[in-house]
Amino acid sequence: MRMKLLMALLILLTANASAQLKSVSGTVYSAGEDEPLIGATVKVKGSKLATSTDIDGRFKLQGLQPSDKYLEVTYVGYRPATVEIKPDLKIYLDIETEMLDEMIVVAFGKQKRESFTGSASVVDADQIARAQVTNPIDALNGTVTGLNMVESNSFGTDATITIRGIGSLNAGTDPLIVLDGMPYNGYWNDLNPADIASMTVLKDAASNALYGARGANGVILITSKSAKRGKTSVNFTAKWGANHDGRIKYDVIDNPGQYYEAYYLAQKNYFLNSKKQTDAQAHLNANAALGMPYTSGGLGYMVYSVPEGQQLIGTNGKLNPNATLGNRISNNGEIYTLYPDNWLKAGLRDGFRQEYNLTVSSGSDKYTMYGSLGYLKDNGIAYNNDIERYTARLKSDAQIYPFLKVGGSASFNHTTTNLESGVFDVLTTIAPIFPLYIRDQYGNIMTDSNGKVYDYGDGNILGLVRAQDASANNIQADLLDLNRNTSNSFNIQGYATLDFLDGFHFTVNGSAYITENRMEFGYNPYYGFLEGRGYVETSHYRTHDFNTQQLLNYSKTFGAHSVDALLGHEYTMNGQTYLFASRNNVVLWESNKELSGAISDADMDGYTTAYNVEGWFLRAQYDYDSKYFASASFRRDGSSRFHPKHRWGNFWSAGAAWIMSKEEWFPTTSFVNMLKIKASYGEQGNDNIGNFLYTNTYSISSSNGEPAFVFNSKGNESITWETVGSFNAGVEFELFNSRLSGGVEFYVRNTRDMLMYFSTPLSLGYTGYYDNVGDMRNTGVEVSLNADVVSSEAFTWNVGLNLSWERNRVTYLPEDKKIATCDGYNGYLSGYLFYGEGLPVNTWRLPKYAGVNDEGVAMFYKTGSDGELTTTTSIDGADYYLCGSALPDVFGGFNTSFKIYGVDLSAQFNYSIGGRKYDTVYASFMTPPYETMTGMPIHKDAFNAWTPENTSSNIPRWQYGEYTSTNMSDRFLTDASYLGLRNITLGYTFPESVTRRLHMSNLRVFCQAENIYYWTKRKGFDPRMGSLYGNYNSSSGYSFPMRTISGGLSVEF
Amino acid sequence: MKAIHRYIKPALAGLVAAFMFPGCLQEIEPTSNATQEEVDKGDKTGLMTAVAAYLNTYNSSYSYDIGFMGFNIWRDASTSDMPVYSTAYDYFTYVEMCTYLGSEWAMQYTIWQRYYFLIQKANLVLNAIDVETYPEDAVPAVTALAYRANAYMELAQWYEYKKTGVAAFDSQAEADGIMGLTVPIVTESTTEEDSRHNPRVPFYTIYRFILTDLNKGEKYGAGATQPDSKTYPGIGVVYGLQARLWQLIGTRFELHPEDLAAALSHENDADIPYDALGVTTSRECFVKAAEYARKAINCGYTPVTETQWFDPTTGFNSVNNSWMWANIITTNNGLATTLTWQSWVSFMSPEATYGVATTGYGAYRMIDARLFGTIPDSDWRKPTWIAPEDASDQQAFNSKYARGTSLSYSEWKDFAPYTAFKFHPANGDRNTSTIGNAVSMPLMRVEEMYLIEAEAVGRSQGDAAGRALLESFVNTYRYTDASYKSTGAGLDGFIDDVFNQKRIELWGEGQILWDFKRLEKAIEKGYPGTNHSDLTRFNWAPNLNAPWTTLTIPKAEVDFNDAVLPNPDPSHTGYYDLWSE
Repeated sequence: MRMKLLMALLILLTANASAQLKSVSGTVYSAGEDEPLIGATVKVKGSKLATSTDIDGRFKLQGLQPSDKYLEVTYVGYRPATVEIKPDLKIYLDIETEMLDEMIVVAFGKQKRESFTGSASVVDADQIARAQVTNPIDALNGTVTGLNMVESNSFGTDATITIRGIGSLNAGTDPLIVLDGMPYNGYWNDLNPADIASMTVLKDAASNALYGARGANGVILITSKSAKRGKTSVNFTAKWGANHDGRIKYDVIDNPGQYYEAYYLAQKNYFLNSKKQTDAQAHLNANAALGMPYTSGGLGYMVYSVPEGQQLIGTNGKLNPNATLGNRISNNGEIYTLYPDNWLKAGLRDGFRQEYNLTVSSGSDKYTMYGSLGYLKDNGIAYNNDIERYTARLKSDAQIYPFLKVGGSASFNHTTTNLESGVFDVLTTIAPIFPLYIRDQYGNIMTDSNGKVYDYGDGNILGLVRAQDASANNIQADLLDLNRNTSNSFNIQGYATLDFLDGFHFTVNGSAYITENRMEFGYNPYYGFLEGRGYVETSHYRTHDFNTQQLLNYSKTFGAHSVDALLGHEYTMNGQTYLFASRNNVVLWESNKELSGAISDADMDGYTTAYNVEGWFLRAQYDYDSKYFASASFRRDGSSRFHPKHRWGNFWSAGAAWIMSKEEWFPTTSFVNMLKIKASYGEQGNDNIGNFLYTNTYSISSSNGEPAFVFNSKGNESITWETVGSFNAGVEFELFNSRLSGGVEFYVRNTRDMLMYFSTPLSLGYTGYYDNVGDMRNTGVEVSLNADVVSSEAFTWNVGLNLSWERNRVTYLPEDKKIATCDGYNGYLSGYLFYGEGLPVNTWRLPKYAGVNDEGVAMFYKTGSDGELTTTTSIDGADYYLCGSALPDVFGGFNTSFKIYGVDLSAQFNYSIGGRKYDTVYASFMTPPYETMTGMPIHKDAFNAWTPENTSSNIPRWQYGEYTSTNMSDRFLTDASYLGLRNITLGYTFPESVTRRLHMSNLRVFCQAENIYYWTKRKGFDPRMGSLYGNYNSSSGYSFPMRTISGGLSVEF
Repeated sequence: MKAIHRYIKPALAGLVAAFMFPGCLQEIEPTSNATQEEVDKGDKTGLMTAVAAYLNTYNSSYSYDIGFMGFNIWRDASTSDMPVYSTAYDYFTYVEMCTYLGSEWAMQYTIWQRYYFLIQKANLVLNAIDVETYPEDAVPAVTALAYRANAYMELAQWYEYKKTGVAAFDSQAEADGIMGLTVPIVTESTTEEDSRHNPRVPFYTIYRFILTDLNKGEKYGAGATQPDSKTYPGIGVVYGLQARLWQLIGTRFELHPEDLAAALSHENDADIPYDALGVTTSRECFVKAAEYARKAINCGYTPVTETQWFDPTTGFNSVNNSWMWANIITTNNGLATTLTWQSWVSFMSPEATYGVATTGYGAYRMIDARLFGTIPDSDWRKPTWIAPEDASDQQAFNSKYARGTSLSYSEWKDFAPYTAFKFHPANGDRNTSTIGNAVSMPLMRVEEMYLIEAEAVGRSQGDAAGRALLESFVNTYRYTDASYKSTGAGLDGFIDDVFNQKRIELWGEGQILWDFKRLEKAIEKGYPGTNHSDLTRFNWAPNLNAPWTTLTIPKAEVDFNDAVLPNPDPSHTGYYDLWSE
């Protein structure tokens, strides 16, 4: 009986199992991947009973009540699931891809994309990986509307960026870079692109007003990669490649015979026209001039030998067919052979590039950890012009208590950059006739203890002197000299977030970023000016940036109303120290290039400087039913760059958005899937000028041992914040089942109280000072489109296009600053640029080239007193006119990508239309030789110059001494439009069937080509060189663009 | 939940604390420079010394720029007296070859800018002191006034456009209305607004402005102690500047009576707030010139001795008793610590191995062959330069030249005839630029005063009286056998004799251009037997000013000061030609 009873009870219990279970256990998996999820929250619906999954994804809940019927399972990044309580559950969570995409990193946090009222562009890790860049920021080039960038060709220099036009005249226009929430002041090359998860470019005031002080020029938010909870992965990527000189070459005379012909022509015209000689006399004298010393108007070097009694150049202007290359000369009893060399070829190389990245990421329910190691070695294209970088990064987060989360990251970076760049100068200084090496009488290159003997053009060995770079040989200098920067950087960031009460979060952030740079610079004691002496200098430069934020956040949803409020405080201190010493007379150059290795003290210096800024801010956001959004912010900032009386500025913003497509009346059958309109206005500040400009400064000097305060710069106590007021309005849309998405934005940015360097007459005793002067307006329209043209399982084709149209005008200058007049505009001038109301900033003010007169002499315009336009052949007599500006009208990029059966192919172009830049390099090539300035490369256009037979030419007669024809005028202003094929990537991802067998989760091989080609108005002209909106494409001091082709593989476990 | 409550209080407390943060913003003081506030707290000496220190400000991007001493070379190189052996490493070819002299070229900017920045340094001193109330301010006052007066005197002489004889230049100058105009005056009370509309003043205005400064300098300096260092001018220098000024004014009025008339007609103009000239004849000017020169001599200076002159360690690089005013480069100035071949010693001393005045680079300086030809053997200064017959001669080296140089015979023998060995590296250090470049250079020597006195006495009391002074000076201090006779015919001949002595005595010191211009002397670099490089052989007729001896006003002034009218570009191309045999 007892037994029966027991059995009956058991049956009863079993029948009501679901209602009567005391405990439940199971495993949570990621759907599709069958991977257990660690740390997923499992909660009994309607109860407080909850737990989270363990390392195997398992959970167990005890103490169930009969009323408990369902479990709610949640996990970040996954769609929440509700399941009925059953024994030994297997729960699969779907990845919430949509939701991940819809989050956007914004100032001091993340936000749902749809509720965002401002203007932002996002670049993700895939896009970064596609661009073969040394730092992630360069990957923004051509991918973000409104962002215009000129990448630097040099390893030692960052690119120049402006966002939504040039916002300031003399204050900095660089955007603020924020790394994981903290302002980043470091070198861009210290960031490993492989560590970056995404970059968000905030463009309008509503988005970045919270950065008040430094957000006026836009903000680039960089988010580094973090580990995912519950997933462990190891990724290894390797790339190997080669760099090649990516320059499109000018049509420069590269044949020595042709060069002598061009030089002869210049001399002959001189004797004919200036000396009024007969053709026969001029022919003889021009031939004679070729080999004369440069001080007498010759080239100094004659590398051809001609039979006795013959001339090098015939009366037809062509090279004597009997002339042979290689000329024997004697000096100090020795016989040498002069033979021309290709200097650029000797000084450039195809450098090897290799890059390896290893990342490990792992996470449990409470802890996540991401670590990476990277190595890059890029040999550039010139000797001793390279970069080697080691990076390490560790990022970790921990949910200590349900209400307290802490985390942080640490990174270390060691970079060595060699920056010898002499070879790049050779482009405009060395004609194709000059020997690079000293050759003996048999034509063999002579050698000494340093290898080949180079010609220094100083007369020492050959007895011949070059007009250009005499006593120097840039090619050997690149090999022997020292120009190195070794830098270590450390970055530590940490945060703690406390959740309390209902909907409150309090976060404290702190970061410290330290860079140590040791710069070594030296000249060898073997050759050139410092022969027998040599020179070394060592300098140390440390930056110390400290930043802290306290943020109090409240967010709460009441029915259809959501509110979010933020109250914050931020303090930033940037300090710099500098120490420098140099010595002459280096004793053991080969092995010891330190100060100790030299014996004569030279110079030394050291100082510190600092800048700090502090702000308090408020932000409120409101969202009704995910349809209507509003936001407002206020920030008050103080900057040490201004006098205490003018230090504080108030900045604010307001914005609203409406997702029209969510309205009930919106036709759901329409081809429009999403339509959002938004508008915002805000005001921000800019203090990006030098320190201490509010006071006069005096350099502390010595006058015969007595201290002296030598007036150094004029200060202006009243300078204060430059303010930028920005209005932004835009539409975002998704059409045709979201196959076509994009946005159109319109903006107006008014810069008020521009910080400008205002020039004074030299006679006042200083050149000028900073003042808040005038207003400027940037107006623009930005369009971005992204189309999934074909989207099937096996084949996808995607096309993206972005376009930015910009218009810049100076809108106001105070009367007392209008000190000059040009073409009816009153304004202010600086060098060859003019600033006037109604004109774009940096408008050219130049003499205008008027072609040639009936003798082939260059003419320039002048305006007579009666207003009539006449011409003059004297550049000094020419009048100055406004000649447009370097600002482009439209710029942007387009890209396309295909994917078919694991093969992917993508290409990216960027372009710019409009603007006029000065082609300095071409102007140099077109300058006829003149007194003491001979032996520079000559463009083939010299042969197309005006002659009595070729009177239709617009190029002035090619005549020795007539250098003023190439003085600054609009003759060399060139349309700066370009189209660049920036990169092509071809990759193959192995199918899962293969990778599984190899115990990998992913295997991809790829090849990439970077900076492939560019098209410009004149062959060789590269408007991207020099500075962005800068007006010159200067060649000296710059490196050449580099074309890199590489291949690699990426393995993930 | 309990756990949370436990943390709420401290969390809230922390929160409140975080926001109660007292302002973190710190005041930051620069350490690379001093601020106005720091300077205001210090004594005024730091501003006074700055005036002298500024003479050695340079820009390392321009090879010729070694501060004011480079302007001395520029001036001498624009006369016929200082040819260069080879122009290949010569950084003053612009003025020697008369090219690139227009207002857009950097050198023109540099010279104008430096003078006016120097004037600003003097103005800052004058603003900071009150010598009427505080007599101890006399030394800074005299320093500022003397430097400023000298700067304006040099500016006036260098920028006033004078007739050249080149029709294009002269007619342009006439048409522009710049004849007789010097430079704008900027004083301690000039405002920024004034400076934007600050015209070039007529010669008589600037002379009176300079005179006012010097009169004040004389007043304050009379009782003040002479500063220890000769870089700060004392009363002797003020006298010397008065002598130079009156000689300049006197000569102008004598050669151009219309200028005297113009000056007199404006003598009482209400808008010229400066001391009146107080003279009605040129003779009165010379009386004053002679008087001031004598006052300067009487301050206790003595001419350089033969031993001092030829000392290869200290010759013309160290202050001695003949120097009234000096520019001193100390070993911590960038000209010594940083620049090697960009230095006075590099350009002027053939002994410095780090320089360009070596046989290797060939940019060494010589004396004009014809000028050298006027020096007899009894003048002990003669072996400063290699006589043509002595070049490469070992015996001559041993007997005449070895004492005046630290070169060995084998180094010396490769130098061309006429090479100058007047200047030496500091301490005679030929190999270490950081030591050798730290030289001192004279800005005023008492010998000049003797020669001013002789000329002024000759002009005011008749040439015989002048000749007596000239012969006495030369025979007492410069000839070994007292054989010097001033034989030039008449007053003009006598003045030529004084001029010739000045050319020899002050060779390379940057002063003689003022005499070429003042006396309107011919400049002749091309002649049979010339030792000037072929591209520098420009000749100019007497009674005119050679075009290249007048500077152009840089664009950066003309652009921002609408009252300034520029000078014509004096480059030769298309306007005048080289001499040819």
